[in-house]
Amino acid sequence: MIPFSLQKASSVGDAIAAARAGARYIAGGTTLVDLMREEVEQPDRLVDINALPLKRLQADGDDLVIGALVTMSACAAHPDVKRLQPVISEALLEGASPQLRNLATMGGNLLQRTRCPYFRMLDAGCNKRTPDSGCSAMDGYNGNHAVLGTSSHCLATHASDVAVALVALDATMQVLGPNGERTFPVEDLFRLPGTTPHLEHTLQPGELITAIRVPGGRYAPRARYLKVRDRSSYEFAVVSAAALLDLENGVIREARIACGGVGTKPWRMRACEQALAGRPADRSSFELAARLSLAGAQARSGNKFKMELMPATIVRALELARDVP
Amino acid sequence: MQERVKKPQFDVVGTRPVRPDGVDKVTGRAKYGADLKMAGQLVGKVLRSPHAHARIKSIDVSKALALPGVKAIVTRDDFADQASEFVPAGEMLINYRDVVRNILAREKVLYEGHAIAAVAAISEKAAIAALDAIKVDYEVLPHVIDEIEAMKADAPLLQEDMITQGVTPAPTKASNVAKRVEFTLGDTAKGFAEADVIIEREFKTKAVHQGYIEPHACLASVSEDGSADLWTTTQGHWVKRAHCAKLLGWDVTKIRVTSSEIGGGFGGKTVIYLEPLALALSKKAHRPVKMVMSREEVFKSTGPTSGGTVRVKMGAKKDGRITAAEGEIILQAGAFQGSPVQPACMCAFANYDLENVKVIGFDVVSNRPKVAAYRAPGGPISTYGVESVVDELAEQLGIDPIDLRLKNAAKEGTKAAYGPKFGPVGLVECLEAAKESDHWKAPLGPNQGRGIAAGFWFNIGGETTVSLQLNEDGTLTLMAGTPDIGGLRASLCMMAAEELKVDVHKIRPIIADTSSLGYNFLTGGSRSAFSSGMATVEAARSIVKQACQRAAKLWEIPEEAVTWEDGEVRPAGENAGKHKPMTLSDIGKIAGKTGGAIVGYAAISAQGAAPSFGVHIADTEVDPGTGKVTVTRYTAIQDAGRAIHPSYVEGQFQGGAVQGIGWALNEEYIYGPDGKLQNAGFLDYRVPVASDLPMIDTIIVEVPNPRHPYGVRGIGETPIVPPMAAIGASVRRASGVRFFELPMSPPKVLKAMKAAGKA
Amino acid sequence: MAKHHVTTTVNGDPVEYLCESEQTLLDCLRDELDLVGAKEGCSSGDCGACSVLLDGRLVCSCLVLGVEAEGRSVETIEGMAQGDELHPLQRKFLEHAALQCGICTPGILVAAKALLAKNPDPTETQVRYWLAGNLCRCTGYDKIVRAVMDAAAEMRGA
Repeated sequence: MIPFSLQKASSVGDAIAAARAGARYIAGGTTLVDLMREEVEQPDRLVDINALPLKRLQADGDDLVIGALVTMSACAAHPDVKRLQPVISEALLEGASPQLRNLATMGGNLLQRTRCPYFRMLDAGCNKRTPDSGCSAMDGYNGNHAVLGTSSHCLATHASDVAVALVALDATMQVLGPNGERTFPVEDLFRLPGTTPHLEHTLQPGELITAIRVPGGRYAPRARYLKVRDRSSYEFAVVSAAALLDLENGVIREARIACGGVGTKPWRMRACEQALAGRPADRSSFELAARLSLAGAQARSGNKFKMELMPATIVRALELARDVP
Repeated sequence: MQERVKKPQFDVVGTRPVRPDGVDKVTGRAKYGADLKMAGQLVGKVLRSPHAHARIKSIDVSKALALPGVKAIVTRDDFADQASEFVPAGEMLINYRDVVRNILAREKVLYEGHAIAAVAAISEKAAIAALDAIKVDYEVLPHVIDEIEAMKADAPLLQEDMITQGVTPAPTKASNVAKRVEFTLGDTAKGFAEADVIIEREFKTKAVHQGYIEPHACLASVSEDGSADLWTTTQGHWVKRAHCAKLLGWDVTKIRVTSSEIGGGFGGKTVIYLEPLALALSKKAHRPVKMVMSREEVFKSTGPTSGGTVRVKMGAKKDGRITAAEGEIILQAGAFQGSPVQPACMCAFANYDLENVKVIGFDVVSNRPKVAAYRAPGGPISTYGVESVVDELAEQLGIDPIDLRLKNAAKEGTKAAYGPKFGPVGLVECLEAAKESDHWKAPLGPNQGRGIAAGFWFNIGGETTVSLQLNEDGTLTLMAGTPDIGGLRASLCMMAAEELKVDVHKIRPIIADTSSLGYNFLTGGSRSAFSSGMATVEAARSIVKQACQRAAKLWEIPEEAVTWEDGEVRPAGENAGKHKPMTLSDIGKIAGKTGGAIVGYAAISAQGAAPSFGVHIADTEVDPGTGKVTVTRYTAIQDAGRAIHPSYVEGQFQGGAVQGIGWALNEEYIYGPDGKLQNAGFLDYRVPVASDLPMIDTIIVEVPNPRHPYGVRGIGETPIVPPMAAIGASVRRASGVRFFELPMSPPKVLKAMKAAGKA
Repeated sequence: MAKHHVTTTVNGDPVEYLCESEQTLLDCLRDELDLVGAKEGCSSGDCGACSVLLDGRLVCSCLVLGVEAEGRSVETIEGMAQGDELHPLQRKFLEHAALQCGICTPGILVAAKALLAKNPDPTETQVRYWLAGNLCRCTGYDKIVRAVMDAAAEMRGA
């Protein structure tokens, strides 16, 4: 690890001032400390934000307001989350291990870095880590890489599970920065790699995530998160899907679907959603709609299987959502 | 838990006492390789090759040596070259010419992670700065990773002078094929001519790592007169002492090696990596040097076992009698020759009593880390192919896979293709236990299948020394020299307690250092409970003999008039006079005045190691939508000869089975086109976690080994031999698809099921 | 850079240490406080051998900076037994032979203790998922899971 200075922020204002002056925020540290040890991240200044009052999680009517410093485990176990949006708990518990969920925060989870191996191999080309150094995954090992939203510069997937559920739920996020507060959809936090894969999110310098708001809705009970992976836990998704259904007499009024493990960001499947509206909630509707997830998808040598696995996972997730008692 | 072991006729053997080293291990007190600290110690670090294959034009350490806090640097120039000389290490051989090149590269670097230089500095920071300041000038060379590619005539050559051994006439041109081995029995052409069904298949397996949780670590301290103390995590400290002395040119007696508690080895800690570097650095720096590998270094620079290509052809009559079997086994050796191709060939068809067998093996070098032994080295790879073909034979012939195996099973008197005739062995008993088990009869759910496979390991004995001291209060101290990885100290104390009729907790065992006890070969080849057990029994019997002598002296009667019964020294019959029987405790008290301390000492070369056969039953469920394979039920059945401590025997069965499950489903070394390892960490190299698995049921079969006082067979290695074929057969029945390549990860399974129209 | 002076509580005792910003809590426990019960298996949060409780929550100490322990409470394997009295989990691990080499054992015991504190009656599946962040290469987990379930039963008085 490269030596760095560390200060503790006692107020949000302090933290933002430090960040404006060039410090990096550190909360749970599960991504950052690991990457600093590998010298993939080399910040010279850190500002510890763990003492900030952003740890509240509360219900606001049917909405949930989740403080950015609420840990993954606290969020997953919170009675209001389980009551209003159990799919968030489900997605959280499918990610990482108890040790990591106890440290990692909700805000940090959204900003976690990719698990592409080349991102961590300092002597390999990686445009995300070192701009213009090339993408080793393009013709190297790309078995676990994205098929949606890729560019000739980057194929890396976004690794979060809960972000997939939040994107499906139309969650928004509150951020505070040097220029005040703003609110925008979680989905808009993530940038596509394009020619600048090192720019992963739309936060402005110094901006700090303060909370995530999840709107209540008709979906809450019929919502499931399905994660397919090589091991049954403590493993990133090969493909995952959050599926939400609003049903009336077996007919779909509205559906929401987002996928993980397939896109360079958590990927909302709007074409699939539209195809499902007004259709009976049966396997043939699901299969027809799931096929639309492939629009624009491009596989490389190692990840062709995702072209099969993605629609299959969507179908399975929709079935699970439909069959919620 | 169900008690599956027959009620033993012993007092101690077959019971389940708490292990003597247990409390230290549950309280965090036990000291492993990285847990020792010495005053003034320096931090040692290794510079490693970023290239898969390159010639080293020059190494310049001058800038690094000049940095503050840097105390010593060693490179190839600090180690004399070694002549080609093979010596045993576990079941495998090593060559000092290669070892000296593996610990520090000489002419070339041969794999990513190959050590080039080592530094000792006052802090980790200073050591890393020194590594950065070492200038290595490379000429990068083309590399080859795959073993089949490496065999091609135009492949990049790793060793320009390597001529394939075992081929007549000897080739005139160098190649990457180090060796060809062949075992034959009978006439396979004749056997295939008699067959009604012939199946011929090719299998591929990937390199996998032993995956011990404790990284390699050591602490060396060399004094000004050249006396060295080395603390290291190892499976064999006498063997490491020999290797270090050889490479450093030091007298063996100068190096005292203490084995720390060892955090897993599975064969991978039979090899020296850091030890000679730490000793050389300490000698130069005049201070202790501690070296600990990172997990990335462990993956890139140590272990793994071979990946390989296995071709199997077997023929059988309609009634299931196998008439001929041929195998061709090509194994990766890594950068230096010495894959476990020999044991792979020995194991291939050892499960069966066959008249016509031919096995050919090739040992092939490529730009990977030199392979190390991994639990039954080579056995799982060849057995995966053979047992999968046997399963297919059973399917084609419409014969139950257990019945087919029973019809052909190796038994007492069977002549193995690799030479020996088996004594009493338990394969038939294991197959019968499988057939009678609840598991074999249980119903299966949708998308589930059940597979079975057998496995074999020959086991070894070898040089072993044990010292057993009777203390003045009648308690005992046991010194053994085979590092205890999974409960050895418990089983040795139990055998001693059984012999001496004392409470097992009155015996305190230690693993002695190399200066305190005679030579011990390493813990490997499933030899430690067998060999050290044999030596312990001999030492205990010596104590009994000495106790009788002391009593005779005390009672002033001839030695023949004294007998040992029920844990007491007694006068033998009326004529010996009336003397109060003495316990060992009584004898301990009079030892001093009847001739001095009583010590039982056994220095043996243990002979008579007997093979252990096992049979595994695996149930899997295959998700037709995603290709995910879940193991839903698993039973490991094996002949232990005699289970001294059944819990640790079960533990070996369970642990080996799960390593095999990982090998079958998830684990693999993944290389990029640049010849670099892409998954050198536990997140991307996927060993099984608790949530991947069901309980692993065990059935201990006991067909005693007549050549061991308690009937012990080595049992540690066989459990990793059957799982891959058992899982493969199970997936075949669950998915309708037969796989010929490991690991059976979801993408591959899904693809194969789609192709077969099963998804 | 100047070292940080950290005042914290470890296994109930007030302790102080000096550390550099880049030292992890695991480094500080092992190198500064000589508490070597927590093991370094990967230093990337993947193996769980370094598990400790931080303010009662199970964490990988290799992913926590040493300075972050300031003013907090750390519990390690060394604090698990009370005098001569082993914790029921420690006893059950011995009875069930739930360890072979023992390198993962401290981390698994600490993790299991955290589980039973929040869920005194876990199912086998819950135990298996909870321990998914702790790698064991020797046992195949069977005896570990049994020992945890048995300890839970004993602690419940069942």
